[in-house]
Amino acid sequence: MAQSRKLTTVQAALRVLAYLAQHPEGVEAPQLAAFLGKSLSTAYALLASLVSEGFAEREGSTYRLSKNALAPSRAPLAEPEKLSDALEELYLRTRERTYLALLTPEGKLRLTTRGRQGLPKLAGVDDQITEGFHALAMGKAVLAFLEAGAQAIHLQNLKTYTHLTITDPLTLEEELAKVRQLGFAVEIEEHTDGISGLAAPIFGQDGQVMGAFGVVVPSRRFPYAFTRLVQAVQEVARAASSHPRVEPTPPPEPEGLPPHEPLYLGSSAEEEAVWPPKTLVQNANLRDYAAEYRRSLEQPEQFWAEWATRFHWFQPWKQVQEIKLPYHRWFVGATTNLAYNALDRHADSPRRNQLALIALAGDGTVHKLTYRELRDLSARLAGGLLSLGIQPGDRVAVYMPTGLEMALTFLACARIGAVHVAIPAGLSSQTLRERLQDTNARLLVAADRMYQGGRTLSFTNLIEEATQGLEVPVLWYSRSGSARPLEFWDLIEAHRPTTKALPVESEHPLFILYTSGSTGKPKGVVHVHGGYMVGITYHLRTLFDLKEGEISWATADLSWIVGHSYGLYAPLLEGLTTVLRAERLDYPDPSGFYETLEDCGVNVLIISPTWLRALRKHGDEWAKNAQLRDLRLVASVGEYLAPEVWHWAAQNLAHVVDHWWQTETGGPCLSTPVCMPAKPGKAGFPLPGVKMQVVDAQGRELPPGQKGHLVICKPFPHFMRTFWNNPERYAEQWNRIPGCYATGDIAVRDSEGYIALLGRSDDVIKAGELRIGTAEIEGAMLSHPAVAEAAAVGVANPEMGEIIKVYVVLKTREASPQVREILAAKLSSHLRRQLGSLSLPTEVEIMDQLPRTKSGKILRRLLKAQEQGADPGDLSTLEP
Amino acid sequence: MELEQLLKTKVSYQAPAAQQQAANVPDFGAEYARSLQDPEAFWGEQARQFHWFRPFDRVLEWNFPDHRWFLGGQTNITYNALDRHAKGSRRNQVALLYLGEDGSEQKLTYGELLDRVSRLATGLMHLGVQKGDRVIIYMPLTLEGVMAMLACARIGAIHSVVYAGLGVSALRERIMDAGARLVIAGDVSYRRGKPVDLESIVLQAIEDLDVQTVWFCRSKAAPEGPRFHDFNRLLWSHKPEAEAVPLDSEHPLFILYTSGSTGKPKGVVHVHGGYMVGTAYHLRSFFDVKETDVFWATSDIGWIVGHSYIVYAPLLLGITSVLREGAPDYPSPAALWQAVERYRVNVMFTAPTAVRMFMKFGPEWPAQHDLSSLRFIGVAGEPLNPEAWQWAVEHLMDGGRRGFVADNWWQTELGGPTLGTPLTLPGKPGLVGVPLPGVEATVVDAEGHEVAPGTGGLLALKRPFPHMMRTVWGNHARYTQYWTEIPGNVYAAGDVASRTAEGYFAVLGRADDVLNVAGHRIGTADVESALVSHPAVAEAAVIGVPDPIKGENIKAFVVLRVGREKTEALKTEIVQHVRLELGPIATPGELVFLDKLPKTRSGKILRRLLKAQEMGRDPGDLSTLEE
Repeated sequence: MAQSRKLTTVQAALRVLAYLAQHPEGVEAPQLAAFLGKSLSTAYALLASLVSEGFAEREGSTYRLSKNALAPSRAPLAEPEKLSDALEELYLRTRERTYLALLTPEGKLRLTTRGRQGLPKLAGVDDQITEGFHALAMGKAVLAFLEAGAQAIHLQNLKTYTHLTITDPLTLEEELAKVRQLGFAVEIEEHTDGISGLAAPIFGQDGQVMGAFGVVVPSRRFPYAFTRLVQAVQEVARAASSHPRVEPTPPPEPEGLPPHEPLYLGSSAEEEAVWPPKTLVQNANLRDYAAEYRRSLEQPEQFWAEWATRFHWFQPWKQVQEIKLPYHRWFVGATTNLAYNALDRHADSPRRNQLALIALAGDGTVHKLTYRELRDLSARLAGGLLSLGIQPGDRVAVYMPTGLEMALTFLACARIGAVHVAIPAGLSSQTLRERLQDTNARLLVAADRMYQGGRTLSFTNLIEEATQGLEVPVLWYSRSGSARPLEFWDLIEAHRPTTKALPVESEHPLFILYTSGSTGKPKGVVHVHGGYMVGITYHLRTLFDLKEGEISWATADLSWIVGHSYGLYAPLLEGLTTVLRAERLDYPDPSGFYETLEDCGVNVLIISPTWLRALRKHGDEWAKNAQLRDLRLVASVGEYLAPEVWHWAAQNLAHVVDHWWQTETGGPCLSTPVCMPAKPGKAGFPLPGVKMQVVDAQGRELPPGQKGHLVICKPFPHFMRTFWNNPERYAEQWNRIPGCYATGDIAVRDSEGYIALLGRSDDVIKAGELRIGTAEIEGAMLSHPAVAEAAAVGVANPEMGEIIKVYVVLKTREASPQVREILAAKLSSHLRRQLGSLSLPTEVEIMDQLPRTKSGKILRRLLKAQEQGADPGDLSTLEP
Repeated sequence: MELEQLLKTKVSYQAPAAQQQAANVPDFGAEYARSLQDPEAFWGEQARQFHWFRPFDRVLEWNFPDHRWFLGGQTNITYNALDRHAKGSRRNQVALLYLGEDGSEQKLTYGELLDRVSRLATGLMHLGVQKGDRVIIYMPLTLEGVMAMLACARIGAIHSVVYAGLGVSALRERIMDAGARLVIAGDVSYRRGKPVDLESIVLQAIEDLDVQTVWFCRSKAAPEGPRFHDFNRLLWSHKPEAEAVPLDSEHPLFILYTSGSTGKPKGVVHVHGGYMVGTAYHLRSFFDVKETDVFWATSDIGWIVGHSYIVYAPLLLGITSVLREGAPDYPSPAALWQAVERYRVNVMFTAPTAVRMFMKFGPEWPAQHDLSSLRFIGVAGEPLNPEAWQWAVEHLMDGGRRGFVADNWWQTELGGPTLGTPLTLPGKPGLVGVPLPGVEATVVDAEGHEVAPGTGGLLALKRPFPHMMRTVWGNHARYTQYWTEIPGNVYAAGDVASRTAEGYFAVLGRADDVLNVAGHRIGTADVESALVSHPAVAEAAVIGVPDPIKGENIKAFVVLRVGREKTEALKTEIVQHVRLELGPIATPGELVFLDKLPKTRSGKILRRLLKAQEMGRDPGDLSTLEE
């Protein structure tokens, strides 16, 4: 079926060529990888092979279609007297099966063919093809140049020619627009099984389309002949057109291009921007992004103060902001409590009996709690915590699966001013111990097990190991039936819901959350009650566009920042209903995911690209069978969202808002609000209140199209205050690039201001003068036929800065040590050739396998640490 | 006399001043006066708070004895109970909260309930259920039971809920009388921690009837066969496509059977428009519920209280309605109070029999729990004896400092509270209260003459109101009889009552042969015919004897067929037989064998005599007694 279709190498190569043809300004590998929905390494490998075959050229990091490849031949063709002569000419030039398709007055295509007998076989194509003609390149070329009115008739008669034929009128329109721009049509297996074709239109005296010339070859041979075929078809068709190619005055449509220019210049360099559905735009909470953004930067104090008034402050602030970089404070002098604003404010209002939380536990238990209930339960637990001696400012570590109990723990801590520190359940006892020690936690709230993916994971030993010798009591949430001295629900039962929310300073810490730092001392990001509360809710309303009475579901684990901000706090602060679900979205199949959307009536889904890709892999049927009429918006965060996945989600779920942020920023920073068209593959614009730029290493803003460091120019209320116990590290992040906070990501901005993320700057190796991405190196390595997998790291070297070290897994594992040695040297020189610099310090090591995380990512950090004899850090996510 | 003492009593209970000031209807007198002076304006105003697909042209057409309300209007009670909230700010507010005896809970928000009801309604349409079709619902008190009712109403089908506890013949009779083609049933209900089999009752009842069945199964799989469908599959295999069908105001909403003395149950018919307007009005004005209240009527969907005050009125007002399956004193006598604390229940509606039961357990049980949220307890179903009232005020309402206990009286036929004590008036033990807005009540003698205050007589209503029944299903003559039994164009309630000079009423008991057991009305004839259907029984008579908990208990007098031995085993067998026929409620608590029954000369059994003998009272006029 269509959705299980895999891109063959041939098809991929063909797509690369077509893509390059559309982007005469040059294409970078990440862009291409995004377009293909493939890994960066694959993109590099494909590009490398095209360059070596002469189809493409490389200049720096940009790739272009080879100028020679598609340039018209010097000797212009004689204009043939008859079209049949032209057909013969085309055959002679290509030696492939060629077609002449002529449009009859009835609107059908009459085909004449010339070619070697019996090759290739065209399934079901007779001399005359009627409604099915659109399936072929010839038909498409004709259709693309037909007048709009005439086209409508043909579009109505669309009939599936193969199971892959495009019949959706809108998609076809897009395809036809491409043909019009390129001047020729390409058909690959997607449209016709086993054959590929190329065609170009023939025009009559007065410019009307008469038909098309085309050539059809078996798909497996197609990419190799691509350039030659395009030239031949274009030239023959042009020569056969009795109409002059260049229109004197404004042509109604670009029907072709002057001969001295490449064919493909007519195409736009930009991805098509996609407008959200009309209703979404019209009802958007944020209607005028530009004005809002301007106001947020020109009058930040007024802007944030205005938003802050929606909350209860026990004491008003004296000053909205106080910035002494790298430090910043917000709502200075005020006292408030986030838990009070998230619960009490609603529990005593008309929202009393509204659901605050729907928690779906891993064992199938469903908890639905109203604001009144959630307030009372968290107040009872807060009383319990007080009875254990927890005081304002004390750190409470939380090691639990996503669910009601974790949410209650967060809220109870916030209620009494304790600082919660979530450690994702599943991390090793070593990591847990380190965090307990780093924060000097007074209490650990832990579950003894979790249920996920049909498995029961026991944490009992792990927790005992982590706390051994430490003076930290454990409040157990025992799910195994064994009752321990200090039990979570017993503690709640033992207390009345009388513990009030404690007024705390705006700047009182709310939580510490450790980021998955690459090396060194762990970074415990600190967020505070006041600014965090104000900032995350602003973006919930303006970016995620949530309305009163709506339900949001952030699929992220509650112990990650997305879970903290948008699984729990922001929806509660705004009096909405949030869904928490512990189970994997695809266990045992995606039905659970779609059922949750459907049964809970989710309006806005906040999800990661990883899950969107996984869901896409499971096919469209699930989404089609589900009743998703409540779902309005899908917000994607966590990593790069490839356009193909964007489109899939937009088509099968709802309009997609791609956005970028970090644990450090508390909430979204870059995105495209629903009042604007989205560009799949690009996150978008800096959001109101957030000033971001793409700069060079000196902090100078770069012009559009140049990649550089993504930086935050000034802090905002929900930006982290410091790294716990590590203020130097926090300050360093503001000093790395002068005058701004370095996000550590590489990005590029286009001429319209859309920013695309290109990857982590940590993954860049500085070898001599050269800065080169690990992905690029690995792609080059993978272009060698013997290499199955590759991982590149930079190894510190006093003279060279860094040496590029590549770990390689061979396709054939059983190689003798001698063979390996010789091969390593060969691969090393291959790599230098591929990277275009023979003087690069490279080293290749052949391994039996690469260390990977559970999610399949190669752990470069581990390789690097081993190389330098350093502590590899947290290996808890390492695949066993 | 007892009655005189009651009427003279000076004791009264007042609601706390703050509660009176915050009352939804602060000036009861004015409200009542307006409702009678200009009923059309009064009810029209109430009706306009709802959504009408087509606005009504006229409020009332009173064509004795038939009354029609909101003529020309089109509405659907489920649109007003569900869509209106689910599409507004109450979408995620809890609509229904189900509690099990084991402490389990299930919640459905307005959004979810609409989704489920709409799916189920779509499923019912796929089973061929059409507008006007009757659907019998024989379901335990569950969310699914409520969904079944609402799904029917959504598509204009007429539901007829039969209390899941009634026996085979009662169920069968109702299916046949309603002409239902579909029965929605549960396989079990849970009571005292044990499943109670419903499945076999249904299977026996429908054995040779041409009906389809939908099964809500919790203990086993649905029975197999072409006419058996699974409730959950029916629900989840359909998308929520069924919209609320616009219906004429007078389109029947449900038939609810009530026992009469004549043996054949009467199918009381209520309609979408008037029932919606009236029941919701009284929930707001009499029960005084506020926007964010949690409301708990401890009845069952099998009774009118369940229809009006578990399901329809609370949903119409957009509040949270609690339903609890099982026995109120299981697993502990504090079970109810624990739930009141946990869910911060604000307003309760319960029966005197329940209050008496709590009284028996003692005040220490409610004292264990924080009942501070509880503001109002409405009590109805039978006369609330002064001791029970006093106990409830003392131990549930903190001696009256926290809130109000309001007695009220109504019937299946009347849809909602008719007489009652509004919280702005003093509550007087032994007196149910005053006629509520829209109600013009009186006490008359058999000839229709009003009797003097303090004198007993027949309770009668002088005019209809929107939520009063429209007809008796398939027997309009029986309906007419309600209005013609007493001369003077009044509705005969069938109860004996008296009135004080200030206008307070006391309802003293049934005038006819209907028993009131634990708040449930049971016809003596039903029980008697069940008794005589046993092969050993020749003749039977039943009476109600006072019972401290249930109000009345059934005592049966049986004359055996010649040749049958009066054994204890046979007694048990006969009682079991009735239990199977009519269900546990109608089971005689006591059975005695007599050699013959006292009869009038015309052959009618003199139950009055049996009862008088039983109570040690003067049997009165025995002139008609057969020698």
